Amino acid sequence: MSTVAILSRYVNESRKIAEQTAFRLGYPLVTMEDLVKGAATDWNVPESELSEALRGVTLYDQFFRKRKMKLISMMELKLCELMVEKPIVFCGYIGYPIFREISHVLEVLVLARPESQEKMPETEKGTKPFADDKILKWLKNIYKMELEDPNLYDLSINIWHMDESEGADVIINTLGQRRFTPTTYSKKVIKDLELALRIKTKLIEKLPDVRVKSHDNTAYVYSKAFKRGRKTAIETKHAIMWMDGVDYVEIYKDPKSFQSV
Amino acid sequence: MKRPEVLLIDDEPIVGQRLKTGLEKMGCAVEVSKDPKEAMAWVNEKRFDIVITDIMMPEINGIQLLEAVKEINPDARVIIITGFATSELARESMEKGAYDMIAKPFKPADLRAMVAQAANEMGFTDVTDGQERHDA
Repeated sequence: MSTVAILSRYVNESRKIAEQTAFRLGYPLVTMEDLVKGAATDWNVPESELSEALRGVTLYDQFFRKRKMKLISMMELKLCELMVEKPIVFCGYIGYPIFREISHVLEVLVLARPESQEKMPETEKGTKPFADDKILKWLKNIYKMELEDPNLYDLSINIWHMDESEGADVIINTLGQRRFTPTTYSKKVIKDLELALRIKTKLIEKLPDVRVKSHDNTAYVYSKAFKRGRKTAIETKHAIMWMDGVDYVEIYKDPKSFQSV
Repeated sequence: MKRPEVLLIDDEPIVGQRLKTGLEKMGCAVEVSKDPKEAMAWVNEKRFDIVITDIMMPEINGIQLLEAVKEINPDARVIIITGFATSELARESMEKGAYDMIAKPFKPADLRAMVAQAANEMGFTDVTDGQERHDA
């Protein structure tokens, strides 16, 4: 069964459409709050710290960037674990690089006129930001992506003049297209991503530039730090060799070689 | 007992050799071709129930074969095997009517399970891969 990922900075509006879609498909709805709670339990980390990592770019980032990336990685891992279990409707703004890799995820961009705008006095409409612009900054900072670039999505819907029910109709009809049918390959991709994210979460504080891929229980790990000496590479290999699901580890110090894996 | 007619196309002969015996043991009638042009000619002559094809092949690629097979026999199940799997290719294959896609290298048992499921859906209920299949 295919999965729906609804990305938007219009938190309340996109949530309503996600709730309708999840209800009608019979899928669980997963929100950013669920990821925060799930990751907090799995990693024994305070929810407040995880929530902080999802906020816009702050001074905190400059000093605790490594920690922030680890916290984000924990939440991405939680998202991936939920996707391995069953199809979901996700609503939020995390996980874009994961969704890109999976052919049976329908990526939806929701644009909206938020309630806050509706409630504004007529004279102020259009003069204040519609939604949480911090989310845009956060995405640019973390994923180097423009959230509202429609080229990044399978479907863009503007619910300015559309209610949640109509929005859900459009999503469900699109999801019915054959190209979003899960394949043995796409289901395996999720499992590979889950393992790669588990490894990344373990390493990212020590190796902030770490990049990890996995195929069939083999882990491929890249970091610039491996160029500096064998010790780091050997320590990294030992650190992940004993993780569940890892049969073999390949270390890369050249980004081009890693890219070609 | 009617057996499903299976055509296996891969320009690497080792792949065909490796899979043929296992598929025959499952109760399939298997023809193997390492030449996609030859396979295309066979597809025009004979009605295959299940076609397993590589993507990257000289002259004719797997997507072209998929389209040809589906045009001749829309009920045929086409399984894509590829060493260059991407999300885009998976979507294109499924959109054009593929039954499933699996990335190389794969375990022969995984492909056999896929073939057994396809054969069962087509009414060849005697075909079994000898292991339980979880739903797609």
